[in-house]
Amino acid sequence: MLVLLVALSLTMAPHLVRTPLWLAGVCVLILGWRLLYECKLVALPTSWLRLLFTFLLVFGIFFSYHSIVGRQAGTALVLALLGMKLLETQSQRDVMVTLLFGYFVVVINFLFSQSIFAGVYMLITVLLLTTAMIAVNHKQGGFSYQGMHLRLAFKMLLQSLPMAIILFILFPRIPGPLWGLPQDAFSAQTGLSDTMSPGNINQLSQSDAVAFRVQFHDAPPQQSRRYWRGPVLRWFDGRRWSNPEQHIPLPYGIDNNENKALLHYIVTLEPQNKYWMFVLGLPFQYPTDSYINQDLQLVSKHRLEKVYRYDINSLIDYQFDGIQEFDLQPYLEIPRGMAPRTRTLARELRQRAQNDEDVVKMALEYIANNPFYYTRRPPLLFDDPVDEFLFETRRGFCGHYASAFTILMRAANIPARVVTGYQGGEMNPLDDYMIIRQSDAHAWTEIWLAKQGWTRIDPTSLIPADRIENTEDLVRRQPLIKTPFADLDWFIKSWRQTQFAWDALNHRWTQWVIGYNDARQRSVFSTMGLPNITWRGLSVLLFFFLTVTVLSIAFLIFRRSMIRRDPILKTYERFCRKLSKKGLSRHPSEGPHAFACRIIQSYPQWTHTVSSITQLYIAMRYSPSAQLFSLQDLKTAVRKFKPR
Amino acid sequence: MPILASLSQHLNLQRFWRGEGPQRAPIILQQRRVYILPTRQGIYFAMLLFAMLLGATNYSNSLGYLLTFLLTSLAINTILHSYRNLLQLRLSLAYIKPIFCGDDVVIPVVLDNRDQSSRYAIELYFPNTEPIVCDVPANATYPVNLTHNPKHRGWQPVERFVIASRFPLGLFRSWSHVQLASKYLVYPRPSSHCELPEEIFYKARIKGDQGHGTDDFAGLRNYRPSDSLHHIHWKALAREQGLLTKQFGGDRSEELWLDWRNLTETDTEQRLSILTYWVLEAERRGLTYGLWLPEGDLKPNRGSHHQQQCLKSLALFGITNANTE
Repeated sequence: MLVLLVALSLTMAPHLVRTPLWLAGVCVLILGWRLLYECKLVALPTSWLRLLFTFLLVFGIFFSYHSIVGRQAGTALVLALLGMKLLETQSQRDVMVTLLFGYFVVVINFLFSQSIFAGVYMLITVLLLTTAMIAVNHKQGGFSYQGMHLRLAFKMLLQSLPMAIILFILFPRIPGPLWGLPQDAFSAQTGLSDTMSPGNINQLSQSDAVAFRVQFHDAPPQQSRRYWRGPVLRWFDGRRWSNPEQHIPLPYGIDNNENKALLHYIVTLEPQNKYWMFVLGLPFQYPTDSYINQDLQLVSKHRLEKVYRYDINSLIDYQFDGIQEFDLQPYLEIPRGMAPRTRTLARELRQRAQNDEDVVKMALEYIANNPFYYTRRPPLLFDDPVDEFLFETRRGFCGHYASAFTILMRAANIPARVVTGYQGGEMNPLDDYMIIRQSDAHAWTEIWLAKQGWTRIDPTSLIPADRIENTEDLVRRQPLIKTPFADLDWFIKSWRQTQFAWDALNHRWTQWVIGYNDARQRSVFSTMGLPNITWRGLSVLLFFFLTVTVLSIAFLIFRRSMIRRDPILKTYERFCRKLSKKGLSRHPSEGPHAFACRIIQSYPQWTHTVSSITQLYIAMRYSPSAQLFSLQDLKTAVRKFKPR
Repeated sequence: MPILASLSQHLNLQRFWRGEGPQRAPIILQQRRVYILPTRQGIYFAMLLFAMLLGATNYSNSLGYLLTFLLTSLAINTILHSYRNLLQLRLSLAYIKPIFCGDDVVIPVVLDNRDQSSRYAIELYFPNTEPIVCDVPANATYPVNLTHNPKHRGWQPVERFVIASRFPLGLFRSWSHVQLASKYLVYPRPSSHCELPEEIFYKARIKGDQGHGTDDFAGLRNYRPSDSLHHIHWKALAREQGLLTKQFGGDRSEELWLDWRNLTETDTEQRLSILTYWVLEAERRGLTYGLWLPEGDLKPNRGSHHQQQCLKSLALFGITNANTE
């Protein structure tokens, strides 16, 4: 059963790259053993041996994963069972059970990836598994029929697609886990973490993976305003910024008394296994299952393990009027004994400045005028990271700058905090949406100014172009300096076009396939004109469409089986039936002429009609010039003939 | 009206347990006669799909839903394909050679596929026997030899057999019961240990034995197809002179009467067995033999046709309602 082996190898392959090496090796060995068995070179292991192997495998899995439940361990267990089943399979029934296992292994793959590749790969493996199923039910066919099996499997899957798509669209989506999920249901995705230390943002800069995509209702804002706010961090322990109170909602609401313009956009966030939603500015209208926390950050009530699509109206320019219950003390704290030189600098700036805005301006000038470099490979900081960075190394990336600047501000008695998120974003020219990647991750500072409230300051934007080491960072940090797209050479341009096209496809896929949850389904129904569809209505609709599909496929399949009886013969048979009611049945061996004579003998009054019908019939069936006669004439004559 | 007639046929529930009753060939497997139900693997498949659906719902996994729905519609599609595999197939019988009681009769069923597409993995079997699996190509006929072991002699009807198919996916099995109104002849079992009666009646005849006897050699003639192999002049053939038959002259013709009354056994079947063996042996030896039975007798003759007549009367002995169709 070579098809079976090929199908199962392809089914297991995507899992084997994720399992520990020993398990992958064992699976390959099992497949090889089976192949040798098919070539009649070795025998299959006995049942005792198989039992021993199973035991060893389960033990090994437990040892590697420390459990046998959960996504990873469960998958490994299913793979092991499939392997053992393969070593046992002999009869047709066994092969069928093995194939059922195979289908299960295919579906498990989707717990790890739902990309377009996964979808296409699924189709290929299902095709092969179905081919194997056909082959095992046609054993006497032999090898030469494999092509036929493959074609039949392909045809059947093609015929199944319309119904599958209808079911996909109409089948009701019940939200949420039914019985809870194991611990590792969703693996840790790359993304911003809850804390910031200068090292971890740098890691993200390596990754080109998409963080989220945004569709703007109107024109997208300029590059310099594309600051996507994520986790706001206020607590510094000397090395790491964090926020222990990220989940406390804002006690009061936000109003737009001055009717400032709102920016309307829809964000499709890739799974990140956290609670943070990224917004531009201050969210004014946001989904009901999210809230604004005390740091004006939009936080979701549920952990975002899946693709999440949210619709936001936000205020780009906003100001806070009145401090009221705002407690600014936490935003002034610096760890005891830390950053003495920074405090000195801050005091100097304070003395020279008249107000807070001056302090900020002078601090920024300090950065601009001193040799600060923006680099992805900065030297390590040991004892006092802020001091060493501001006065000694002066080389770092956004995390260093944000951290140091915030401390500087705090030392100058200006409340400040670090904000992490994303900065920038690239419009996809093919599909009119913006792509924000993990490499756009950024950290900046927000300071409290009495009249304006929390104001964003990005210290890295001050660094002159010649001190930015990486060209991509250059493009981001200094948006006025743009490498025009048209100047790039042809190869790079077409490569980027391909990238954009691929991302556009991925965007659609994410929106319509992966992200097709109950909310999306309801919106599809409202566009179809059925906004408040009940369960009953939905099942009626589903039933209707399915019936139509099944009937049309049945028609396609059975159309060749329908006997298209000769209409001439049918008409003559109707004539004979009329006569048989009168007791004159045509004998099976009696020709039409003989039959007619017999009729005329018994019933001479019908001579004319019977002979004309019979002659017409004979002429239409047997005469070389049959096309001169019309079927309609025969039908009419037979219809009019009423034997009484 | 024909519509009402076929409707009453459709609604006649008796066909579900009594079956359709014997029908003349060719039998066309129409919709009314073909049934379809899931197999055990089909049930397992349904359980698998249910598990997948639960899993996809639990994890809200869209591609999981898609695969589940794809496999569901594949299973429903299989119903149509499996059903179509049998639909409109025509069955008829070829000539069934008579056999002796105790042997297996070979029933040649001819499958006639008038579709433009082939039918694969069609199974035919009598209940409780191994199925014979075959493919029937498009627009072609295919003969299948079913074997059966009849218990009695005489005219035996062809038992009802099952035609089924699990192609293509083995998830559903479509089947139909076929009972062809045909019968075959079963001769009595020849007993294995008895000799031909010693008494051979010699009867003088004017024509003599016409060269068929075993007396003096009278000459050679060309071989005629029904001549006994014992009378062929093999040496002439070895000398490449062609097939020649020896003729024997004589004024006596040997006639052998195989007589019911001469048998000492009391059991009817035993007597029939012995007589059957005698008929076969006599024909093998090229003798002229006649058969006397209480029901009637057959005048002495020889040849395969006479042998068949004798065997037939032996087979049908005592069976009063045998119609000679």
